[in-house]
Amino acid sequence: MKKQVLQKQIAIDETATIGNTTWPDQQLKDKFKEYWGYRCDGDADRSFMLEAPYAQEMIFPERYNNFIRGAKDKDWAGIKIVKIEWVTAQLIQVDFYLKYWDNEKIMRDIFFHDSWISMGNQWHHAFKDLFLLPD
Amino acid sequence: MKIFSQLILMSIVGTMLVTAAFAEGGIVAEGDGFVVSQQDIADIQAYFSERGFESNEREYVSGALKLFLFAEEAAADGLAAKPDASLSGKEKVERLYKLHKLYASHLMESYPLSKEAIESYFLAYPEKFVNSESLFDEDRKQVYAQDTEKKEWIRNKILAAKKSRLLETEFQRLKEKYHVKLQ
Repeated sequence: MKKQVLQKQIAIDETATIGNTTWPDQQLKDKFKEYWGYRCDGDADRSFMLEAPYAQEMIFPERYNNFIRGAKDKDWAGIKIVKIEWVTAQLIQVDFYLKYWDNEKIMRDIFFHDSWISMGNQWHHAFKDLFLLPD
Repeated sequence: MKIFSQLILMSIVGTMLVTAAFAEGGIVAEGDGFVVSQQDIADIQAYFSERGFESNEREYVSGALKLFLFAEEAAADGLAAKPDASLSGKEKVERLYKLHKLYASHLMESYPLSKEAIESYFLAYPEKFVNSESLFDEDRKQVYAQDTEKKEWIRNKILAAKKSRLLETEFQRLKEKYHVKLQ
């Protein structure tokens, strides 16, 4: 089993159980770790800087801050990568479970269907939550 | 039933009192080159009430300031002339509202949205723009580079999400620029 420490707080389990869990390159893997580290820390300012330019324009900063900061009090247990898949030549989807301990010390999962785009040789998080970005 | 009738009556009287207060003379707010009177507030309240919108005094004053400030700035930018001084009542409100919309459109059209913002939206939502059956059949960069219609659509989509914030930011800027004071 492969495990790596994320932002001193959360480990990523990349063991393939369902689909491909191979990262296309190291930069995306590092950005993913960095971004979800900030999200789990509730660090809205830093996670916002990794959002794609369209998201930075469209999202209300105050709502984003409230949305992200709510995460910091959770007892995060780790990330389990389910699948990494190319959608187009510039868009990758990373399916994963974000695990946490609830108040009764039972481990719970939150499933994420996360998107990343490659633009100008950089990976950007493609924020798509319908709560903050209604379609 | 009696209580319901009394509530209706109180609501009518309340509206009449508010309207009466607005209709009295006196300055509500002023800025460089313009004055908002209580008559202006009453006219604006009547204009929007006809269209089914009701609000409170604070919102009417804020709304009036937005109309006046955007009209001033539209004139300052050479987009249109200010309302003629002889205009009053509904005609004046209509002219102010028209200038407000003109200036708001100008703000949206001139907002410097980066090409990266537009391109990133295109890349993030391929399902909205795909021409072929498979998302991998076409060169997405080639598609994007050639299609100005798609870019315009995306620009409008992004700006629609930003509109209320842009207008509010501009309102705050103009309040400072025109040294607005509430009486």
